[in-house]
Amino acid sequence: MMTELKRILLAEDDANDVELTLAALGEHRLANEVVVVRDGAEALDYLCHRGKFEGRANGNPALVLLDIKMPKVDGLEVLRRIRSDEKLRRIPVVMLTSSREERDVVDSYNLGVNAYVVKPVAFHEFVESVKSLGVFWAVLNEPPPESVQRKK
Amino acid sequence: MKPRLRLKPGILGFGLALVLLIGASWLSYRTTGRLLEAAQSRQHTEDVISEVQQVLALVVDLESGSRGFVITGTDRFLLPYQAAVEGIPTRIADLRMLTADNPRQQRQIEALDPLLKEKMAWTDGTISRRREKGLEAAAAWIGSERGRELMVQIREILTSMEEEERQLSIGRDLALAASTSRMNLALLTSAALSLVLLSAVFIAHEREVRERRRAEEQATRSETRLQAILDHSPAIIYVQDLDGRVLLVSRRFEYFYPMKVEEMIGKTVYDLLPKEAADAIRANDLRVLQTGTPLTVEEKVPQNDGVHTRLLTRFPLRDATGAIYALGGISTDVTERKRAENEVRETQVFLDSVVENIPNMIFVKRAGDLRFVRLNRAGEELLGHSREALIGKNDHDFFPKEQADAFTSRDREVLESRTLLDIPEEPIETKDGRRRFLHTKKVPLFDGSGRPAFLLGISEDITERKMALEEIERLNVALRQHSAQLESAIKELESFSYSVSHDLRAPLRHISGFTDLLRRHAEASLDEKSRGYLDTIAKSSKRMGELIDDLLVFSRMGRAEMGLARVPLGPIVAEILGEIQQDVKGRKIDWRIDPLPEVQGDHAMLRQVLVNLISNAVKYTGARPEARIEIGTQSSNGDTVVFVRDNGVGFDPRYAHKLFGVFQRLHRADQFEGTGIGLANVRRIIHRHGGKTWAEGAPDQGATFYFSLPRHQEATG
Repeated sequence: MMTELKRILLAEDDANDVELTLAALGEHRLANEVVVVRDGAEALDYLCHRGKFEGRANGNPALVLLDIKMPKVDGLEVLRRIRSDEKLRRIPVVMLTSSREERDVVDSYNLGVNAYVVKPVAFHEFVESVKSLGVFWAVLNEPPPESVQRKK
Repeated sequence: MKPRLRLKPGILGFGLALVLLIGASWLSYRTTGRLLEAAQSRQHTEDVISEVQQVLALVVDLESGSRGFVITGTDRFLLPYQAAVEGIPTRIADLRMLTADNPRQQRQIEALDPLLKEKMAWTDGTISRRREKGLEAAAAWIGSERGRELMVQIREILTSMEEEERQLSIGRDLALAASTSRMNLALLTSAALSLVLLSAVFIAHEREVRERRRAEEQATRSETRLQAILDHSPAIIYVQDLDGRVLLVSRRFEYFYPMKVEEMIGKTVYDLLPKEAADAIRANDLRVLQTGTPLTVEEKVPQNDGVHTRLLTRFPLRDATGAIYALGGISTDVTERKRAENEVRETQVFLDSVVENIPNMIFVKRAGDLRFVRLNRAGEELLGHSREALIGKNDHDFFPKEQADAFTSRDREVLESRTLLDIPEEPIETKDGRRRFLHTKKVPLFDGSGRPAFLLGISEDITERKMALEEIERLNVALRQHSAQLESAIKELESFSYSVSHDLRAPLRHISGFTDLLRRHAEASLDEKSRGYLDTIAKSSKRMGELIDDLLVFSRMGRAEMGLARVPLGPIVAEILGEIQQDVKGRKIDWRIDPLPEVQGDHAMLRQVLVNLISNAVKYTGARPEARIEIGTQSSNGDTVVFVRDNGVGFDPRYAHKLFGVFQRLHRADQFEGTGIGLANVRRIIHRHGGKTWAEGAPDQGATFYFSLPRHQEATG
């Protein structure tokens, strides 16, 4: 299977969740280029080449997976900044969160999220969800031109 | 009377004229007599003169005859002489008789008579001489003086007599002429006077006649007028004689009684009315006749259309001597007036009763001095003052000065502004010293000329209401505080459940996830028991996840926005049955679904209710070889009631109240799976729709779950 993998930015404060997510992506060999940041501020630093990401390679990730509840800057704020930044606004953003709150869902869509996924409790369901996301956004979807692509 | 008085001058004139005419006739008669006498006397004169002339002629005959004989000596010539001798005495006798009334003529006759005798004697002498002595002697005789003298004397006397008669006649004629002309004058005068008088009488008479005719016309007109007035009078006017027989009655009579005016004349009231009524009327007639004074009384009289009230004025009619000869009556129908009076009285009584029974205080004050003229019963009860005490007094006689001043100044304000004044609240002190609060409206009452004459006040005792309002206000403040507390508590709960949803799920997911990862990594090295532990961990975390999810759903049901649309329950049930088809595969379920109504509410929530109830029914009939599930509807008090009935395991009604509680279960989890949140959600949703939920059942007897929805209900928070 000729799969073209693209870079994914995962913003998640919970280490367990990071590990589980990476496990799910890895299980389907979708985790080649996953950048993990642990809060909203770091996510913005990464996207804007700031702080410890000042010297990182050019190009936007093909997908941003955002938790909502994060320290410093929460996921909704990160989304808002992405959508209001000329260079970032076209990046596909998916909310991957524990919250089923209607208010969060509505706010996310209002800010222009591309998808909203509630993390299932059962691991195999979680794996399926993450896999679907990875396949769709990192493989099937044609990202905006400024995304980084790597051939495998 | 006037015409008679006017006749008098006429009669006077007429009598005068008559007297004048009689006088004139008498005068005329007298004059005619005189004229006759004059004629006779003239004849007499002619007779006398004729006699005188006869005598003269005879004397001449005597002479001439004698002379002829003398000359001729022939006897033949003696014939005239002899006739004269014979005739003269006769004539003298006649003459004497004719002039018997004239002494002067008688005297002349006396003088004549001897002369005539002498003459005759002389003549006889002549004749005898002739005869005897011849012619000469005779001629000589004749030629004697004496003869000639005699003749002259006779002639003189006779001429004198004739002249005398003639003079007499002339005198008489003159007198007659004078008398006649006087008479004529008198006659003419009286005739003229009579003419004038008669003309005057005639004219007067003519005038009299005309006057009388005019008077008659007037009398006729006046009578016609009077009759017209009588006939068109709305009253019955009548005259009856002393025995009660009707002499005259106005036309109006026919309007009220079944008899013509003409028929009634000569009849009495007994011919018209039943004896009893007639007796009563006649009794009053007699009273007037006895007392001789007019009488006005109201009488009840049976008429064509029932008994009427008539106002009857009777009065005696008196003749010139003052004796009563008839009885007059004027009878007016006052039935309507009496009825109107009664109505006014009844209206008055009614209005009084209304005023008296109005449960608010009503009072009326005179505009001038603001003294009370009226107070109703509610007012007496409120103030404690009787109306007898209050009426005629003013506010200052009863209320503390401050209050009385306030009342009075508002009264003045109303009377000056001429408009209603609404005083939402005013204190008043009652007789027993309590303080009440009134809601008073004051209105000016105007007299006929538009000036305010009275002040009307209506006061409601709002003391209790005021107290109650104050109490309510106090409670409201407390309620507002309470409600604010509740609101913040709810907010806390919300954020709590949000935390639960977010923060509890994460560790659970980790437990589940890492358990799974552990199993994959170490599957081969684990013994049977360890694998069992891993299964239990996985199962428990899954169940916990479900509990958390249900709790979140429940929490969301309480907070989510609720839509309001027409929701057809029938299609929803069909849809749900389709969805659970997979789960009930292999089971025998007898579904009995009635046609279900359309209700108003939130589509998703109501769907959730039906899902919960139906899946419950399916779940708790699981042990039945043949399950029966009924879904139906009924109506109660205008609400729509839907029920889901099953023949499942049922429940103990003692714990029915726990059925709809959160996480309340009447069965063990290993008997029936579930979190115990379903019915709690049902209740919460139905409550938010303004409805109710309840259940009936018995152990092993099946259960029925009901929910009601109000028709056209409004959504509630």
